[in-house]
Parts: sequence; C-alpha cells; structure tokens
Amino acid sequence: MSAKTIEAVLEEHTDRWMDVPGVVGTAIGESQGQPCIVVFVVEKSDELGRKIPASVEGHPVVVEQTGEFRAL
Amino acid sequence: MSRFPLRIGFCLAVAAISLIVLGLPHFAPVVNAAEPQVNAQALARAMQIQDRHTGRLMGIPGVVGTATGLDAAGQPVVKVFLAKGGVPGIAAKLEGVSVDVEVTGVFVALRKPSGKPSKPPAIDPTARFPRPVPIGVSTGHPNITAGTIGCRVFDEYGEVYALSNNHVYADENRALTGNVLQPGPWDGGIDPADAIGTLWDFYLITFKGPYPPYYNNTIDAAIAWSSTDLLGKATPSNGYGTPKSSPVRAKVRLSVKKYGRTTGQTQGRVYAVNAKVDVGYDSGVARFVNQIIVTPGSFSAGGDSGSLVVTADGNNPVGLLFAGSPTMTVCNPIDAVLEFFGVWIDGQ
Repeated sequence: MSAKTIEAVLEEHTDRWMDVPGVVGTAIGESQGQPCIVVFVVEKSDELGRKIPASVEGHPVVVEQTGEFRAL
Repeated sequence: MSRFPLRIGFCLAVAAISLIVLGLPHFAPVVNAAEPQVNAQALARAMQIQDRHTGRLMGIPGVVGTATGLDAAGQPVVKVFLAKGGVPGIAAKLEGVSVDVEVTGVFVALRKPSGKPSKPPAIDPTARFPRPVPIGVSTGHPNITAGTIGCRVFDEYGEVYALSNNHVYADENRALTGNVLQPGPWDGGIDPADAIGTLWDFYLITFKGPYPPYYNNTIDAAIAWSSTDLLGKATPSNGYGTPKSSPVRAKVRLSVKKYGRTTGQTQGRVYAVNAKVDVGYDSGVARFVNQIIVTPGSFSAGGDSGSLVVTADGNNPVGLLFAGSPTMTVCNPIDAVLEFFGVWIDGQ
C-alpha cells in the first residue's frame, strides 16, 4: 500500500488518463471490499488495456465500460 | 416488522440457492472442466452448520434470511441476508465456515396478478398536476423538452424555489430569464398558463474548449423562484414522500432512490464517488469533478434530470441527478448545490 491516499494518486493521474480517447471518467470505487480507482471507458479495448495500468502506486485500477455520459 | 414475510423469504432463499448449489456438482464436469469443483461433503456440512445457527441468526433484528452458497473460489459459505446494512453481532465464521453477509432488503411475496385486473392508481409524473405541484414530476423552461423538479428549497428570507438542473431550467446557459413550467413543454406545458415559477439563478456550465486544460465544473443546477401555493415539497403518493432537510455525503455502496419524471421511483446504489466525468450536452462536452456515480443503468433515463437522490432508508438528500450512460447515473453532491445558491432543502 502506498503512503499517498488513493484520492491523491487519482488526482495525479486522472487528467492524463482522461486525455486517452475513449476514456470518459475516473472515480474512487470499491473492489473486493477495498477502495480502488475506477476508469470509465466508452468501450473496453486492447489499446485502452495497455494504456490503463492494473494498479498505480499500490492502488488497484478497475476499467469499467459505461458508454458515453449524456445530460438526461 | 412481521415475522411472516421474513420466514417466506428465508425459505425461498434457501430453496433457490440450494437448488443452484446442489445442481453444480452434477453439471460442472460435463459443462466445463474449468469450473471450480464443489466438494459435496463440505457443502452438506455448511448446510448443517447453517441449520444449527439459523434460529439464532434470524433472531438478530435486521437479519431476514440465511442460506448456504459458494464464494468466488467455490468454497461453501453461510450467507446471511440483511434488511439493511450495519447489523451488528454476526460472526465472520461459524464452526470454520466463512459467513458472507449480503444486504438484500426485506423479502416480500410476489403477488400473482388476479384474474380480474384491478386498475393501478394512475399516477403519471409527466402529467399536469394540480397546484401546489408535487416534486419529482415533469418540469422545464419553455425552450427545453422536459426534466424533473428535484425538490423545494428556501433561502434566508424564507422565499421558496424549485430546484432542478441548469439544462432543465436555463437551457445550458442560453436562457437567462423566463418561466418554468409544470409539466415541461415536451409533456404539453404551455407558457405562461402552466408556469410554477421564474428562473432565478443557475450555475454557469463551462464547456470544453479544443485544448486542455479543461474547466472543472462542479454542478449542473438552477433554481426557479416559486411559492408554496404553486410548489409542494413531497413526491406524488406512490413515491417516498418528503425528503429530509439534512443531506448526507455519498459513500460507495450506499443504497439510494429517486423519484423522477420518466422512470418514477427507482432504487440504486452508489458505485463510485469523487468522479471526474465528461458529459455530452447539446452545446458540447463539459467536464465535471467530485461527482457521485450510481448504478444500475435503469436507475434513470432521459427526462429524470433534476431528480433529488435520497438515501433509501432515511430519505436524506444525497445528490442532484443530471446525467447518465447506459450503465450509470451521474449526480452532483447535494451540499455543493445548496451551498452555491445559499439555500436549504424544504423537507422534514
């Protein structure tokens, strides 16, 4: 586990991830009872899988396919 | 709380899960050799342990059922079903078998439709309602289609306002003034005959330009000046009623509900917090920070924008619904909305 909080780690990396085409959001979620970073993507792909790591500074990263977000 | 439906739930749950679990050893080798093998003896033992402890477990207030199931690794576990989270006094293991606690809510008998269909009370959130109108129903500025009245808020002078989204009451920054209608124009609302207030204030949404850095918006919200003669503070009678005045902060897994123009009352769960999302509008894409993500996708649909999201068990305000994807709903944290306008929720 890293010394930095998961919020700080997300803040540091989120803008770079959100510049990747197909990434529409990031958040703090929960995976197997532990806090995790969630990256929302329009559609999962191998290329996105290469650019989004499985964990960052000890915090797990989960890629979640959501489609695009629209005002309702 | 009556014990009777709880027992039904318990029996149903045991029956259903037993069937699934007992089916596994027979089918697993045939269907897929890679499936984890289930040890039938261990399973039978877990069921005995479950039976021995069920009476005591069901005596704990909030426990609505028990069952034997399998964990992700295929190991037998005793499942304990709860009406809601935070029930103390449940051991992590029973005689060496892991306990898996799951919040299912209270089980109820699913009534079969009787031979003669009785007409359900026809409450349509898209309809025109007698004044004062309820919250959670169709509304909008004359230039838009339709959204939802989130709730009634009031300021330090005691004036009351209808709360909804910028894109419902201010047409994505384009409407600087005008009436707001109930129902919204898409649902037949006519200006000024159906007016319930006038646009008073809105958070200016900054859309993404061609190059970074992109502006971080915090809310999509607007208020319309109204009166207690025109605007009530409770949902229609098939909804949760009046929200509480005191907001609570969203946490992952928090159970929430909302009443909205399109999907009526629905329940969901906070999937993630502290979200940064890009949201598509007619005018372009806008980036939002510190948002709340609710699942499942059926929690909301187009026209539910502006709905107040409240806790499932206490009606405490959590968020203001404004966007969604096929699988998720996005909400502004309600405290940021109230703080921006300097208002409080007119609730219980």
